[in-house]
Amino acid sequence: MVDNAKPISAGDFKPVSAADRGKLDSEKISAPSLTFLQDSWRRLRKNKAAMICLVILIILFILAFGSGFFETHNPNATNPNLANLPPKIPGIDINGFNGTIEQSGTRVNAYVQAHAGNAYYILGTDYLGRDLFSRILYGTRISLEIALIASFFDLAFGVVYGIVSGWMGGRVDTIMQRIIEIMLSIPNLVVMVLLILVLKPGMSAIIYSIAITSWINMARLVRAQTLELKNQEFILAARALGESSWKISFKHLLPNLSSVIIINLMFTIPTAIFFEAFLSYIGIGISAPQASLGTLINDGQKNFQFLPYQMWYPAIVLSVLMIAFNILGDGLRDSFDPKGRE
Amino acid sequence: MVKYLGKRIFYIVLTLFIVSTITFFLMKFMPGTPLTNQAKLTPGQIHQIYKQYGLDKPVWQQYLVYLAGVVHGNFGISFQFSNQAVSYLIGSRMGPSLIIGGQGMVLGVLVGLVVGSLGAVKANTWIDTTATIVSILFVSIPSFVLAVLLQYYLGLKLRWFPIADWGGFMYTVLPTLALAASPLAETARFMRTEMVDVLSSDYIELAKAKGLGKVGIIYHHALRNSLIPIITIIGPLTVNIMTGSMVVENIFSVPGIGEQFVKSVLTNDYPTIMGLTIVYCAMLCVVLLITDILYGLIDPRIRLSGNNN
Repeated sequence: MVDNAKPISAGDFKPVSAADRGKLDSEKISAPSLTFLQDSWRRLRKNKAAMICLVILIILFILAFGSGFFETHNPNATNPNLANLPPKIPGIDINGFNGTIEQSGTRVNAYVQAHAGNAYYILGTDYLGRDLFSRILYGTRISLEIALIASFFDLAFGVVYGIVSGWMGGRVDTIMQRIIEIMLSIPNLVVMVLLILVLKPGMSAIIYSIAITSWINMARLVRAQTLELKNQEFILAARALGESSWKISFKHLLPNLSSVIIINLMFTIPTAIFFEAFLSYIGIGISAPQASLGTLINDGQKNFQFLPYQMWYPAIVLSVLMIAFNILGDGLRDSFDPKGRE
Repeated sequence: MVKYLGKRIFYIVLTLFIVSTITFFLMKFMPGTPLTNQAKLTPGQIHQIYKQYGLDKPVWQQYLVYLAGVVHGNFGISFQFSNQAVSYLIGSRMGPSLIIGGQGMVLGVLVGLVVGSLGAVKANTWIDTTATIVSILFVSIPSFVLAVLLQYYLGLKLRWFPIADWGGFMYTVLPTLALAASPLAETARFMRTEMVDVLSSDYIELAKAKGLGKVGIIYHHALRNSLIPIITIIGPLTVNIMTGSMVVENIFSVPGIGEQFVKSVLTNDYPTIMGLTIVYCAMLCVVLLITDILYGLIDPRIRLSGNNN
């Protein structure tokens, strides 16, 4: 073996500059650190179906709540001369959108028959000549308002109930759980119907009945999760350091409960929308002349054989709302709890 | 077991007692009396009618009379439907509801199991995607929309089934299909998750290592073990069927209790509403009790000790 290594001189070395020092640090984490929510959002963005549903929901929200700015007709204004007109969009000549309708075998222009002049209704009119498009937008707004209200009660009442029940434990927990068990053995719809009868049908009765029934599932799940978290070290540490129960629940419990809460919220919403539509459909929800998707479907169903568009459009909007919330809920569950899908 | 049963039955009775109390007082707070044309009646006649319905007594006595009646299965007399006894009204309408509800439940759960396990076995293929889409659609589309569409296309257009009314088996097909959608979707979703879990467990790996065929593994090991938790969703599914039956029975004019409930709600027939509320609760309580007992019998790891955790 020949030692052919060069002799080392002092000139071969030079001090590390400040800029180079950063590159040398092998312990450095190169990717930015993500919080729990950022990480879930990153996973959710990869779920195409969920993202499409999110976009659809945002569009529906904007259309429904912004409808005051661009609706061409008053949703409640009746016009008996222009009743039961089929959809007509100017410039489009496809059967179903050109204002013609099948009458005893031949296609006739319903707008000419009704002497409608230049008026047009892009989704047609109902049996009282009210603009179906504006009514659907109004009904969607009611559904979305119900969704927001149900989420509010879910958060304000369900979460608090669950945390208190799980955190306090003992006798308080037992009593609170018995109350929930009793509520669970009454079908929700029956509770709603009874309340609505007592309170007189209308928006406020629906809100109260949703307030009473919607929070139960949330309370159960939050309680179960709280029981699990309660015995973990970080909670114990917080208690040992003398934190108050309030502060522990806000600073330590709530962030750890957030995925359970968000996922369950996404399943409360379609249920609430369904119940509102259901109650309006059977005739004890939103009362005439106001529109709700349920009443629109009920009205449209009577004429379904001859004027199918009157039921199809509200039914499609209601179904799309429900599907979008359900798929988004599934997507959120997968992104918050990635081990579920793989 | 006996102790557990006793405890559960005690809670059921307590629940029913609370429910009947709440409905009784809610109905007492409602404005109006059963007499629609009071102005035309003399005070004597009013008094006589009040006496007939027991409305002349103080509220607490009416309450006790009502409770005693409920215990004996007597819910009073209907205000609207030609003075029939509510218990007779409910009893005579129970059959059709149980038939279409039961058929819908069985059909929905069975098809749901197949769809769900197919989705899990063929996970991340087009079969899985189709199964997921089907269950999302069925869980999202409201029963009243589905029922109207079924009635129109299968009943009126294709004339395969009668569109409404009540007769033989053929009359039950469309309502059953409409009711089966929601349990189908729920079961499929639940089954898929369960089955995916089971398929990745150690004993499935062992069965594969032993050289068992795919069908054997799925049938003997995966399917049986994923079936157990399905029992827990029978309770919620029953609620779905009850809710659905109210509109479905109306749309297909099935003479069942769901249709009666809606009719009574729309005509303010308070005694019938109260009676049906109690009947609905009792049915749900019994279903929940049976599923809990079944769950304990089938899966011995779960002890029926009387407390939940």
